[in-house]
Amino acid sequence: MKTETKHHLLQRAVDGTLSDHEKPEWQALLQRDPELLKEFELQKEIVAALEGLPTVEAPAHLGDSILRAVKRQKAGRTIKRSFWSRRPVLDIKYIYSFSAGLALGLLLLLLVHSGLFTETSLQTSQLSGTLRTMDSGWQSKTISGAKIHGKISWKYQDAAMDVQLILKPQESADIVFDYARNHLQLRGIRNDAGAPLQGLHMDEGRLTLPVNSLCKLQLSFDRQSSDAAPVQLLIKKNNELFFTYQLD
Amino acid sequence: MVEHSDAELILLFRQGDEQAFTELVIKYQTPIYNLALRMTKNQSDAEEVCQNVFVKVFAKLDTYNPDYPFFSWLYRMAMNESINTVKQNRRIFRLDAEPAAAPAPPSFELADAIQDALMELPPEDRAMVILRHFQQMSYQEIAYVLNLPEKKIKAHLFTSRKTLKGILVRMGVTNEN
Repeated sequence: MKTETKHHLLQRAVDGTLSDHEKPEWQALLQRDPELLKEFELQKEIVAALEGLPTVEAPAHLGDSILRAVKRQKAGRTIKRSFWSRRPVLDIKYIYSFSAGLALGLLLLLLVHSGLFTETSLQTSQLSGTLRTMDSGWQSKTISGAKIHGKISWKYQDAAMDVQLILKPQESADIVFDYARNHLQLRGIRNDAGAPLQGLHMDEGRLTLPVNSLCKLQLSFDRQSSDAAPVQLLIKKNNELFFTYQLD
Repeated sequence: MVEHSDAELILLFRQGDEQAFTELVIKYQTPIYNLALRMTKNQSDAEEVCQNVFVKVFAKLDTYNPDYPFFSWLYRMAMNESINTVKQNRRIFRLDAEPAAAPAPPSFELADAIQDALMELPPEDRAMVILRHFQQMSYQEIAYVLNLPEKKIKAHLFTSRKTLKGILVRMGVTNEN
């Protein structure tokens, strides 16, 4: 018998889908081939173990949190749609888009010519950013300066807090997160940059990580209470502070 | 309370009845949560997968093609979301995890051991095993959910079960024979 046919029968036997016509053929085959019998027993054993895995009850709050997330998403979509949906003629939308693009282009051209985009080194005191609340519940702050730029975002969700940091340093620097350990417990770190994390140091509510290239991090905290849980971000090199910001 | 079929709930939702969507969430949250939990072995990841899946379902329900069963469409989204989460998590190292050098303690509960063994399979193979043996799906349904040919699924399932056996033997949970 061809190996392929044997394998086909084995598969059907494991699935319990052998026809009445195939069953005697299969039994005879098992008696002749101890290796096949062993393989069949192995497959059956694993199938039985897998199918005996218990079903887990979903957490009681899951349904509510799903519906809340859907509501947030819906609110976001309504805002986005409302502007466009007021204008029924598609061509008008294109005219709007084209006009807006043209105006933006002219404005940029004007700014470039007026020298407003001349590159200058910023001091720490000049660092600035925009704090805004996004639909998904993430807040973020832009990090900009002569030696670093990037963005920090954070989100509170029930008993958790997530912090994401994307940072592109022009030279090596230390990222320091200070957090109150009686309010927050660090659960995990996700590294989305290609390079592995090296030199990560954790000590009593302080996490320090030296970086010298693009860094994409996510810190996940468990909140110990519903109180405000401040996290302070510092970016520095030795005693020189490049950036500091408190998330709350 | 009248129990509606999936098709009826979808129709009601398309007619503007948002309660119909809530009913779909109630009906499917547990199976989707279980699928995500088996894929990720992490409760909060599984919850996040569920949330993301239902948010997408809400946004895309208008585009759902009723030629396919709703649950297959839903599982397809759930599996894609779970696989993405698993792939992202490869870059995570958990602070509460055992150090890499230390061998993991053997699991004495069979269900835990099987879950641990599943986690050693590549995500796509794990998905096939879960859909087939935990969600009791047919090969045809798995093919639709994972967008793969049935033949490939059968072959991978066969080798995955062999691999699982090897892992369980290594864990000391089962004998070689």
